Amino acid sequence: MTNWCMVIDLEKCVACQGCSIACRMENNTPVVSPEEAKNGRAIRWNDVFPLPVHIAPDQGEYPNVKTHYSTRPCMHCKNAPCVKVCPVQATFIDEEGIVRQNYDRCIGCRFCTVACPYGVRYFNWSEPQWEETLAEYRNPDQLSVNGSLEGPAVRPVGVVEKCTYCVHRLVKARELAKVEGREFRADEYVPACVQTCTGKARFFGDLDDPDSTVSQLSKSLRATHLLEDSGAHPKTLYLAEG
Amino acid sequence: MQQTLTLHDRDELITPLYKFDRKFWMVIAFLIAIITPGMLLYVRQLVLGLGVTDLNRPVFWGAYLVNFIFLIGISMAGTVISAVLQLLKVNWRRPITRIAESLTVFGLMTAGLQIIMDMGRPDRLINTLLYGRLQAPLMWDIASLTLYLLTAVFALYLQLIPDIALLRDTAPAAAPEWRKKLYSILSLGWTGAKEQWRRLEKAITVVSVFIIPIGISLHTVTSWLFSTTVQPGWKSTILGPYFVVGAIFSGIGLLFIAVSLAREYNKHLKEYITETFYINLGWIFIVMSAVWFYFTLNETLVVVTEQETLEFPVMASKLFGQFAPAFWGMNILMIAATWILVAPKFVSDKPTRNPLLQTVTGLVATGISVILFFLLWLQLPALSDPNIQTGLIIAFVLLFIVALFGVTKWMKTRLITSTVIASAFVLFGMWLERWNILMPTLTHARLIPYTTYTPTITEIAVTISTFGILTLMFVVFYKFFPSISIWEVEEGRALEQIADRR
Amino acid sequence: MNFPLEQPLFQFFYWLVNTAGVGSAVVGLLIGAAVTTFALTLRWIASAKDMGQESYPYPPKH
Repeated sequence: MTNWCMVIDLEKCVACQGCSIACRMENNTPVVSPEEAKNGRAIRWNDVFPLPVHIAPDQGEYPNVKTHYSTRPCMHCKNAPCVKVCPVQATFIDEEGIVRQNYDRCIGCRFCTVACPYGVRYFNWSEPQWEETLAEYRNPDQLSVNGSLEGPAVRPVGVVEKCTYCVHRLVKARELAKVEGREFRADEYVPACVQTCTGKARFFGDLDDPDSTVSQLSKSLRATHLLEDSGAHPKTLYLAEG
Repeated sequence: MQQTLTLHDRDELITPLYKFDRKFWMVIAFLIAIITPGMLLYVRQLVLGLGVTDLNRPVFWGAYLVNFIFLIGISMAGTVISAVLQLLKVNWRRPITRIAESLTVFGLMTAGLQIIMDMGRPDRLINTLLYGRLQAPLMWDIASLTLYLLTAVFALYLQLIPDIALLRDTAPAAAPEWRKKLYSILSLGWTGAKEQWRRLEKAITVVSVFIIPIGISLHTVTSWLFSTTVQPGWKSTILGPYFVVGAIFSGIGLLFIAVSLAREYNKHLKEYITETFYINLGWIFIVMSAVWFYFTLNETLVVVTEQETLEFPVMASKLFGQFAPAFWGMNILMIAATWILVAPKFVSDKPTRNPLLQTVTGLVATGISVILFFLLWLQLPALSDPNIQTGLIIAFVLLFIVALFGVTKWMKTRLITSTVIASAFVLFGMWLERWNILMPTLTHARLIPYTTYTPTITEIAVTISTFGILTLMFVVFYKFFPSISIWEVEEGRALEQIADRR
Repeated sequence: MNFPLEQPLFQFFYWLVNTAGVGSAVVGLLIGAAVTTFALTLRWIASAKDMGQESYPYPPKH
């Protein structure tokens, strides 16, 4: 079975936030007003933020300052704290190691959002809205599994949503291979953030395939995880700076 | 049919049940008035989503969850008082078992209501019954809460059966037909036969044994909602017992207040619920406060000493950060409550000339220390100078101690008033305690900048409304059923007579 | 490797805790058992036969 994994090379990342915007357009993330965003209601499945989070980001005195940035999709943990606490299995790990979210089953108890140490889960505080022109450019894709909506389908108010490694793209690529009557190859599918990355800092592929880029990179001495001590066994890999 | 119920008791306990006087309707009107705004705002929240609250990322849980834990906590009153004292065959429990058990039932009902109000999609509540997963702590809570509620209702009903039969047999002619019918159905054909008594006693004993572990499991499971996550500040093994202790503590507090209000509402109850009850349960209250302080010290000291990078910022925000007013407010309330309960036991009844023990001293010191506390709370820029701050804190502590001494004499002569004040302090302090467990951790997420949470008008109104509903259920219930367990009191009297004869 | 989840017993346990609906069934059983017990107890109490004189007074003379 494939084990999808993303590798982010922080050495190459220029913190352009392109991944965040690409994710937003691909996955129909609703836009919130600046006041709401200031109140922590903004939804960014893929976030770009300065490191360390709780100390002033620019360290040192001008002109000798240094700034670290990190970008953060979902970690798709192997021992996902969010999956463990969901009372109705609205969030689950599929056979290919992707932590997915079923919008039609979620009861909005927000236990998963509290349990996630990475803060990658977002709650729909109000009915999602798009400005007129923006609404026209919404992604028409949606994933329906056993009649339940997933992926970029527009989320109703009161449910939790999260990064899915653009799982609808995987389904699409599989379908295409099937139509064309050939075997599906792991390199036929990448999430939108990987596709758009300015510095080519993101890699995506099958971690269980020893020849894939990601599994080669995972052997790098720079390879590390975000909050490795969280006990969640995060999967998304980072190649450390410096 | 022979009845030992005297005409006197009947006048005092059964006649009021059929008297819908002005006082009753005014209480109902008042309660509806405080419930309505919260309900309207809740409907607004249903329509617009949880965005109308101040919940945000990472503070995904807020005042509703605090209320939930608090209400779960106060529901402990019934278990402890009724079951434990019943099993220990303590006699002074008899007049208050009914009130204690009904508090459990109503507390659990409103707690369930809070969880539904907190849900983003209450319309999908049924999903928990269709797709429930055993691994999820929330599922344990659902199981435990439902089981506890059912058992509590059953225990309350068992205690009620003989009294319902009494109501059925003694209903005045003017009583409405449907009420007679209701009592007749609910009494299950109780005749007071010897065998029925024997079986009832047996059933009550068995339920009393079982309800204690069920009650403890609910409070523990509620703490596991937090301690099973990997969030700093919650990863604590003592959270389970800490919640149980806090639950008993606040449960007794609410019981004192409910009993005192019932006594004020129906003055006749003062003959049944005497000061003995206040003194005896007061001792348990004092012990619980000691245990509570012990646990709080454990929670605080360990983290303060180890100063671990993840845990310490959470604790620091309680000790001197944004949660300092709530944390120190909680501690001050608990210290004051314990003092109010303990100190009068050490002073004599005789008037004294010691200026420290004068009521005036106490009141003046209390007033000034309250003003000082709010000055510190507001963190005015004019007072930001460290010297002024330190001076204010020292002045506050000294005045607080003087206030504690000053009120002692006054409290000595007013047992019930002082117990009620202490109970109110404990209830408010326990609400703050739950706030102090939830909020610092939620606002101090690891990968999200630290945030704040201030409840909006929606949360405040819904909270008031919830406590209004609790009181309304209490008031309405006791218009249908006697507020003290008549047969248990009679049983007590009979036992006393037997003891006297020997 | 000595990973417990490779053993069928632990796989069964994992299935038990991680399957949607099993939790509901367990909770349902628990609640059902409790309600049944309570109902039966009430019937047991109500069905007690009158033996000799019936009386409200307490305590019953054994």
